[in-house]
Amino acid sequence: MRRIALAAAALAVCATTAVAASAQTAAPPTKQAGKLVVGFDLPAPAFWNGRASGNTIKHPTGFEHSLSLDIAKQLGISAANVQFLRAPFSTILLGGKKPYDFALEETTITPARARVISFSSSYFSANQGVLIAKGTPKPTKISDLKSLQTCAQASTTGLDWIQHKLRPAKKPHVYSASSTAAFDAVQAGTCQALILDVPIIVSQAKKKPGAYGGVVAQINTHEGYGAVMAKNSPLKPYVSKAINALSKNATIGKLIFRWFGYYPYKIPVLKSRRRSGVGQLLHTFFSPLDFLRAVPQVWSGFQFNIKMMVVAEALVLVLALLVAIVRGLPGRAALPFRAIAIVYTDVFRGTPLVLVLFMVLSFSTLNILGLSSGSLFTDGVIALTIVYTAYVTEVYRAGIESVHPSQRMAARSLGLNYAQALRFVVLPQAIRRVVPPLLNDFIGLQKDTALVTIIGVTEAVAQANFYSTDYFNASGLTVAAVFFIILTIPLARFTDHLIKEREKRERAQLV
Amino acid sequence: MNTVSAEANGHFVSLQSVTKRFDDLEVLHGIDLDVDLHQVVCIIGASGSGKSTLLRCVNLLERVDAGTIVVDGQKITGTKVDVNTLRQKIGIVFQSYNLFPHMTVLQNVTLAPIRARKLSKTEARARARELLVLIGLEEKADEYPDRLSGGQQQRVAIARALAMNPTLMLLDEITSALDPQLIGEVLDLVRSLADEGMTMIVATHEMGFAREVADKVCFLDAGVIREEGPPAQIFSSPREERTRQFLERVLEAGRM
Repeated sequence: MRRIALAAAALAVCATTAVAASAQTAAPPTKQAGKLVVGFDLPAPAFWNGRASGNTIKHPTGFEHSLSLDIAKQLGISAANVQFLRAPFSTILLGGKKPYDFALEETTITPARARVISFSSSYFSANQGVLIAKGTPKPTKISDLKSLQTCAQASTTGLDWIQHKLRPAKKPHVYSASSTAAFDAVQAGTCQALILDVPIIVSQAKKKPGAYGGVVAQINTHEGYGAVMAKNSPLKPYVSKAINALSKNATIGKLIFRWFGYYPYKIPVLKSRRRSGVGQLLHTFFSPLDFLRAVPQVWSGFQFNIKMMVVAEALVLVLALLVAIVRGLPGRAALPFRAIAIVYTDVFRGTPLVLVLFMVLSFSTLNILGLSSGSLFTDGVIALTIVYTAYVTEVYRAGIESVHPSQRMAARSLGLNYAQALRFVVLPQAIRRVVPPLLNDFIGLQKDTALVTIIGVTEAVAQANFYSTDYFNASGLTVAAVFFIILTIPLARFTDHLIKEREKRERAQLV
Repeated sequence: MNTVSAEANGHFVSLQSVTKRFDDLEVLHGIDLDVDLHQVVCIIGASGSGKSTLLRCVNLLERVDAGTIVVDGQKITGTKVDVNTLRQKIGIVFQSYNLFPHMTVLQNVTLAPIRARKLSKTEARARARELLVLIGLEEKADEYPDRLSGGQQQRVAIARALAMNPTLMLLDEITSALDPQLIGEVLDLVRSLADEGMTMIVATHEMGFAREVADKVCFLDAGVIREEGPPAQIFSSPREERTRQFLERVLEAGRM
């Protein structure tokens, strides 16, 4: 195995050196040797300027136009041999062959897209700019933004970032439709900091000098635009290499200044407080803000857990006692009933609750025998009851058997019948003895209400999970854990107390 | 009650050829025993001789394998006997008291009258308090059994049996688990019951007590009644060798 891995690594090294060597010597593998076809789409002001004409563009200028010529130059192809082909944005993200060598269409690189198409390395970072109102203190780190009144345009990366990453104290103002309203708000001072794509903010600030407090910072979104190629295009390493070279020799920076009016490196990048490993851990699971925010959401689910627990426990208490009594019935006539009770407890103590949950769900959804509970909640309660009744039956049975036979005999000798002896003499003593193990089983039941999440009941764990995926923070899970612990601790302590009390009583009897 | 009374030959309790076995072990081999109304019959014998089993058979806590038992004119060894009704007439008191630990003294005494005899709570309590006065424990009515001494517990067990107004009492070595200084208080109670004319079958190791109270003493040995007769005769001039040996051993142990 190890040898194979080594061989593969050696092969890979050979391959890359071969590619690198050929880049210097042979012509790049474009569709047509010595020529380059670049995809574009309109409108894309400042990225592509010019007039669309059929499949191509007349008098093209703009950032991506210039960049494509510079890349061509890096690949050893003259500007005269570069053609432009209109490729609507909606088509470039699809898999399959492409009619162009690469397309420059402000396409954000994402892992999901990269499964279908290939991206070059990033030539333009899709960072978010911070435009502040006059008189607003200049933020130097991300947490400075938290106390400000932020705003954003509806359904933009900026708004996502505010809501999910920054999470400021005050709700952000959201302006729909156009960015004009947002800019006006910054000018009026009702919004202290607007978060929007850097090029848009810079161009607006240039249009109205003196109206704003300035484009004071950018926020690294770790996202960037890449050239789009067909999946596994042989051209990819050449294009990436060219872009990296252009980035290194400041060509790209100059192009950005030329077309957008700023040098990206001149706008300070806001950093969040760097967290150590432990800090990261604490933040992920114990962020106070997330904690407070998750509480109502998780609580809304936890109410289901409490309801399931109460209903299931009440049912289990009664049903398990019945099954335990049936199991203890004397005589040959009761044999079939005893057998049913034994099979029931054996089967359901041995079947995982998860399985029973799915079975009840199937039973219910397939409407077998016309029996359907009609709600997932009820299905959950039924499954919990079935499984825990089997457990608790055994607890009761152990209690009944622990009552000395002479007690039953004494009761019978007084003329009480079987049922009376059981009810007034055996069961009261049995139940008193099994209260601690019974409560232990109930602690288990309370926790197992969380399992019902898998059949789709939106209880505490489901809500906690929703929170985590919505806000990229696991504190919601911690909240759910705390709820469960808070619920079980009193029961656990009470159980301990009962055990201690009994020990005390038994010791007193020995004296 | 009428058709079968002849079988008892006028005796209140009559056992004829009673045999009881547990699996392979035959504990009683053809016991014949008659007890008349108001009589106290003491059964003596070594441990394991079958005394307890004999008493339990009379109460139907054990089913006999062969033979008949007639109590108060009713053949109780038949198949169609209501054991619950029968047991209400026959009180039994055990060596280990067997009080119900989760109930107070008063509840112990009133449970069966209320549930089995369907007395009202008021009636049952009134009767129970009378009995507690009789056994000298009226102030313990609301105590739980574990707060009482062994002798007190055994007196409560007797009161509990008496509360059903039985016509026959079976006492199964009721002083064997007690400290010597507590035995007296229990025996005093049994003595007073005898004085009032309660019919009793008493399995006991207290020879002095048997001699004093019994109308008839039976020596049970390995599941057989070896010898029976008035106490004076049994204790002073036993006819059987086995009886003599048993009494000598008891004498050595200092229990007479």
